[in-house]
Amino acid sequence: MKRMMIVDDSTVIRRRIERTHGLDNYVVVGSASDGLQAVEVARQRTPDLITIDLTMPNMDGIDAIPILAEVCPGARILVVSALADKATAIRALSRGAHGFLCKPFTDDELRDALHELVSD
Amino acid sequence: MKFINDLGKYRAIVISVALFIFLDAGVLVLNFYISSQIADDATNVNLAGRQRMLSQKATKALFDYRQEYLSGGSGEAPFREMLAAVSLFDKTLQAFDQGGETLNASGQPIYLAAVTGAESRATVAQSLEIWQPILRDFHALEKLHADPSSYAVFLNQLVDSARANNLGLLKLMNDLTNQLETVARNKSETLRMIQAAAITLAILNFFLILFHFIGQLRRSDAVADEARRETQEILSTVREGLLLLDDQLVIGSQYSGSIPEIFGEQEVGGTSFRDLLQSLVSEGDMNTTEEYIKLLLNHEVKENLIGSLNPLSDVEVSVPSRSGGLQVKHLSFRFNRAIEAGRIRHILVTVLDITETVRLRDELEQAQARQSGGLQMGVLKELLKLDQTALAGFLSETEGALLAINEILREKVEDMSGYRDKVNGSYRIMHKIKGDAGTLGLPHIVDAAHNFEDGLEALRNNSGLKGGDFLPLTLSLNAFLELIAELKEMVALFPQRKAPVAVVAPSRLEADKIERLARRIAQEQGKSVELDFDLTGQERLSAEQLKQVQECLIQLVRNAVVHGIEPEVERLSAGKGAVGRIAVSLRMEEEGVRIGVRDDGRGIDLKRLRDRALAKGLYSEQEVETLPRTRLLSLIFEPGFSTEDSVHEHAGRGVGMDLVRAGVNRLKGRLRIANKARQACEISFLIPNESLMEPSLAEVV
Repeated sequence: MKRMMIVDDSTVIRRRIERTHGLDNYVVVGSASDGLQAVEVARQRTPDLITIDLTMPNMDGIDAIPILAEVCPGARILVVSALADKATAIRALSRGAHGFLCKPFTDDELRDALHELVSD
Repeated sequence: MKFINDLGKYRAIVISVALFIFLDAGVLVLNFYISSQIADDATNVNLAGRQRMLSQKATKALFDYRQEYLSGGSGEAPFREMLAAVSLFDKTLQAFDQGGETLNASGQPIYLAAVTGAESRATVAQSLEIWQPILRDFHALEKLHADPSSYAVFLNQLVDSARANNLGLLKLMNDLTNQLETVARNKSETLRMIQAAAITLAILNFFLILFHFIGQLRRSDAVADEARRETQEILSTVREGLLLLDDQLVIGSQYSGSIPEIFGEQEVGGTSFRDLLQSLVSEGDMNTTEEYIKLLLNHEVKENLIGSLNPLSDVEVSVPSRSGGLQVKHLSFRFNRAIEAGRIRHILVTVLDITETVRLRDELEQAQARQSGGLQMGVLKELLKLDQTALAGFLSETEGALLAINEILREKVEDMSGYRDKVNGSYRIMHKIKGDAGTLGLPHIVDAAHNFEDGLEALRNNSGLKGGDFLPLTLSLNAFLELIAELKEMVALFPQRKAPVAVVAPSRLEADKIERLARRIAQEQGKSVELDFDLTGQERLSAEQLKQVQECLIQLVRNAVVHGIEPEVERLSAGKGAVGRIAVSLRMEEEGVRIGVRDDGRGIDLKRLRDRALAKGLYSEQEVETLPRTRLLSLIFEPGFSTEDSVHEHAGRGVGMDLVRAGVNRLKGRLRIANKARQACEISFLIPNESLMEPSLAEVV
């Protein structure tokens, strides 16, 4: 089984991604509601796949992504965020994320994006 | 066979080359074989020639011997010479007949094969017939050498016999020589013919290969030429601008013919994409675009998952026009990876001129804005001149009145008099709005009300009214409501507010502060509220807890005023008192202290919650329908979740209720929502006993 971590300050979004991610060989090993917590959880659980929001308290996604990429090399990172500012999202991706999913999303969009993310 | 078939287009050439090699090898082997035969034949011809000489030599030696013998000499030398010639002749003749060994010209032993060919064999047989008796006589002479009495007689007989047969034998040996020469000549002839034929075939094969090759080259050249022509044709006709970028953002030499037209630049091949865009987009956009292209060049990043981030999906640019001036265009850029052999070689840039599409879209939006009575500068100026409080009051009242008309229009009626009542009821309310707007000096609203009255007037004069006739009215009523909502939004933004002052931790809850706030917000929203406080349980809370509770109460009361309490008119038409009531309580219960805010407003609209949850992407469509009520209600505490569509000072920004939840979490409390649609709503939380101070201790604090 591969390991997945969900980072979002909304409990509902975290629960929704966990319920509907649709990746058979992935199990959610941890979740976090801000960037600091995410780094902590990632250090302990070394996930292979991370979904992360951009705007969060304490440490936002843009700052957390490069650290997460450093802590879990090889992990695939999907940014799941509302598209307020393309430049910010692009900067986040160039710091080590691999894909972007725009909020709001449908179940199918989430599943397709995650599938695409883990495909070779 | 399978191998041959697998060769595909190279089959012909492989077969040709194989044929060539086979032919050459065959000719070489034949050549070798026949050449060795010719060498053998040459030896035969030589030896046959020598037989002629030997026959004469033997005869001459015999004559010499007889001469010497008769004149009393020993005749030793000619006798030996005769015997040697006879022996060699016999040996060679036997070898021609049966095959066997003889001596060659230099005295070395040599093997001869028996002669073949009917003619040669007959000649040899004839020779043997003549030779055999002569040979016997020679042998007999050798034996009689010691008996002189009969020897001379026998010698004379032998000389006579030799003289008689000498020429015959010579002729036969000459014939044999000629026959063998003919055989050798024939073989040489055959060899020459084979060689000639092979060379002819080889040359033929060579030309075959050559033509095949040239044909194939010409065909593939023609295909390549055609492909090039087609590519050129596509590039010159395609409307989209197409170009390739390398990893240094340099534009490739091949690009579509519309590129110069789109960018107003003639030569773009080999130049930098940055230079091309420099004058068109801002430095910031260019940097973002560059970063975006770098993402695309990074094979780790999923192309399909970053399409929505394309920063140049719609850009407004000014480019030189044909007439020499500047032309404003809307361009849409698309960036795609061009992958070759698994590597990202280039980025394919597709540029579309979407000016026309954007123009149509804008026109459509403008038309919609006009239809929904979008705010004009004139209205704004009117609003700014007015007293804000009076204006806010008027707008809330008008909103309530319009909602009341909406209710009237929605009522189900059966007969003509019912329709008449609808028209008359609506007319009365609208007329009052028009009057009030006139008094305040709001000509735009007067116009809107007047137009609506015109619509009603037309219905009033219609003798055969039907339900469908009211549809245009409903539409213009909606537009009117939207206009009022927009005006309210504008008004809410007018007053300059000070930043909130930091709250000093109180030792008691500051009920008056909460009340003042509630009244102020209510006034701004054109509502009136009355607050009741029952704070009997607050002695059990620490100063820190009280500070948290105070903050939570502020948010909850703010929420009740903004979202719960309706405008006066709406309250009245719902059969409620004009003043909204909010009860703030802090009471001891068995399990702890319950803190709650209850209002008698419209309650939480579950349908709107569902819509909002869907729009925010929190749940899928099926989930939203089956979501338990409590889960649905708890959504109001989610960060960024708000059922208010617009953002104004007091609600709609999505912060507030999540602060309540954070505060309640810090207090280790549990939230509860009691909601009765259109009647009341209470949001409360319980601080459990274990988190409370002992009553005695509380006294001290």
